Amino acid sequence: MRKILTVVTVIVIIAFIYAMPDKQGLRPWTYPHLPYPVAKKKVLVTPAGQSSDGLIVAGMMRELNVSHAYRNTARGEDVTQWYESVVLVLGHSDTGLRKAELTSEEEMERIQGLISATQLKAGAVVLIHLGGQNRRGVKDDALIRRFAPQANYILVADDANNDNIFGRIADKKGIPITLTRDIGSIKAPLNSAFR
Amino acid sequence: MPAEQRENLTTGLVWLAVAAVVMYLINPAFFLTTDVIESSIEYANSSRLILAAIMYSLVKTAGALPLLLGSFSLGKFIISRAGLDGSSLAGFWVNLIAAVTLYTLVFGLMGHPPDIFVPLLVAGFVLSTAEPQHSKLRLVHKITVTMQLLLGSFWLDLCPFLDRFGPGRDEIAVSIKLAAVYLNSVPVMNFISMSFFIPLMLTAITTSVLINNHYQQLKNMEAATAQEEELQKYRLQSVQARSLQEMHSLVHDLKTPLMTIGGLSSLMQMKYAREEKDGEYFRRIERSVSNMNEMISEILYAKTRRLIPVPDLVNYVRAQVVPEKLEQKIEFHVPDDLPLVRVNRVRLARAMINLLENAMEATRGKKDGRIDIGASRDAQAVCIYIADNGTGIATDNLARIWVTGFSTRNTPGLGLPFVKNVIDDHGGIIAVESQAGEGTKFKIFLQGEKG
Repeated sequence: MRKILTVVTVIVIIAFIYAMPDKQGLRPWTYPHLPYPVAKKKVLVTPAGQSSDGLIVAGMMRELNVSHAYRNTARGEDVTQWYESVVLVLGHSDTGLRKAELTSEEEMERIQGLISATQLKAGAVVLIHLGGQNRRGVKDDALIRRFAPQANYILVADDANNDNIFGRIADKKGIPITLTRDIGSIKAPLNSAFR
Repeated sequence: MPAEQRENLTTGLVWLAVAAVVMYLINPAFFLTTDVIESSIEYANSSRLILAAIMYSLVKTAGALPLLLGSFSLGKFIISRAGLDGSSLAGFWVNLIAAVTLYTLVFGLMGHPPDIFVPLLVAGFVLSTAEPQHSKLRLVHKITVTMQLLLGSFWLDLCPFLDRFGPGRDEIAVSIKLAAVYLNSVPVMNFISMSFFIPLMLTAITTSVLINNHYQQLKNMEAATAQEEELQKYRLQSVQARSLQEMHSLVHDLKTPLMTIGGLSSLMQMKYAREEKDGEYFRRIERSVSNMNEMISEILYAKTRRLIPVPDLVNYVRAQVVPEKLEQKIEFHVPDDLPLVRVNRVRLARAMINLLENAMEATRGKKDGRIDIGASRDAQAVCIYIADNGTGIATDNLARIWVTGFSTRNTPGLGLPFVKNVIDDHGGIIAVESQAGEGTKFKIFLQGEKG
């Protein structure tokens, strides 16, 4: 009986700790959607971190009839030749990286190459985060800190901005940001970014 | 290090090595799962997402199963090493810490960040796991129950409803849940994950209970068999005692006709012995009667002794056992200059006959079967030996041959214990040398006396 009680107590404590809401940061001033488009077509959709979230965004673009291509290992040269804007879908995945035969550093370089090439072409970088708190590990945060400040528009779904990491970056860099309740609500602001 | 500790340590390390190999080998399975998730998003197909969820739980179970089994063996090693065997609570904590540490370490090292769900799983495992003291059952119990618990537990990772409470931080689980949101399949995923989790957990508990019950039944059956064997032994002893008693009565009854024969023979000698030859016949009758009387006394009273030469004893045995035609070759080597021995001839001869019959049985059907019966002087003692080149006795059985009821030939197992009893009664020693397939040699040492 004592053992059962101990186990139950441990489970309850662990569940409680994990269920506790995170410290709420200041809510940034957000757009429900952009008042004017920032990105031109044709658009390259690529995952930053090789998670499968990029495909979800590609699916949404398809539904929105935004001319795009999904390529998970596209590089800067591809942008130079074929695309006007880039949509980066943040989400680190070790399995995805192994599957794409990339290291974290190589992935970082790839994304940086894409951003630099887009900026050189005076194109727009739209940064999207879909995974909520589940995609806020150390490696995810490294991606956010490095690439969010270089975006032209930031779209964050779910509760990923509980600690206001995106809000602070957007504030500091004057980047328009839209926070949505869930993934389903991201389509409208996403559509507003494209001409 | 005690054998049990060494076994637990080795088992634990072997399981961990297996876990590392499995984790390395299942990478393609993780890729395949990711492919299925991606195709479900691409084709907006919820069925593929469910397939991906099933693959996820199977692949994760394959990786985690040897890991947890290893951590529990190492946990047992630590518990035993730290002398915490008596405390179930301390044992529980050690198991928990070992499992969580190893799980986190190995999953982390292999590039699959673990999630917080492990302690829940381990707690469930520890609670529902008993330790049947039966090596095969214990292994079956551990593997079956842990596998069911793992399979069930990994479904909790995929339940979007429980997202807030901890389970499902694994990147593939997150991908599946995100895809479910995109495909408007959250209620389906909630339902499916619970539909797998609850039955698997119940099955794990039921299996655990069933295996434990089975173990109890096995234990009861073993106890019943042991009781039956004990009972059989007592029955045999009782039958033996009864026959002995009946034989004693019969032998005792022989004394009356013998007395009559003796008395009448004396009367007849007085009345009819006219010639020297007649007198000799009557004296022989009297000697035989007296001899038979002594034998009866020896049978009836174990303590009765007579001083006899060893060759006479051996000849007495030879006369009773060796028939005209034998398939084995029997040779006697008894020198005449041995000291005399004070023995109960009937009982000692019976004991030697027992050994001789065993030797004949061991050499039966053997082409060059041979039995040697002999005696030699051994300081103040006399050594009588019976050796054969028959089937021999396995080393494992050597220590048990004197135990009543032990037999490898489907006999009551009373012969050799009787032999040992008789030799002990005579203050002698009996020794055996044997090797399976080579033969057996029994040596009887008896105190010698001058004639």
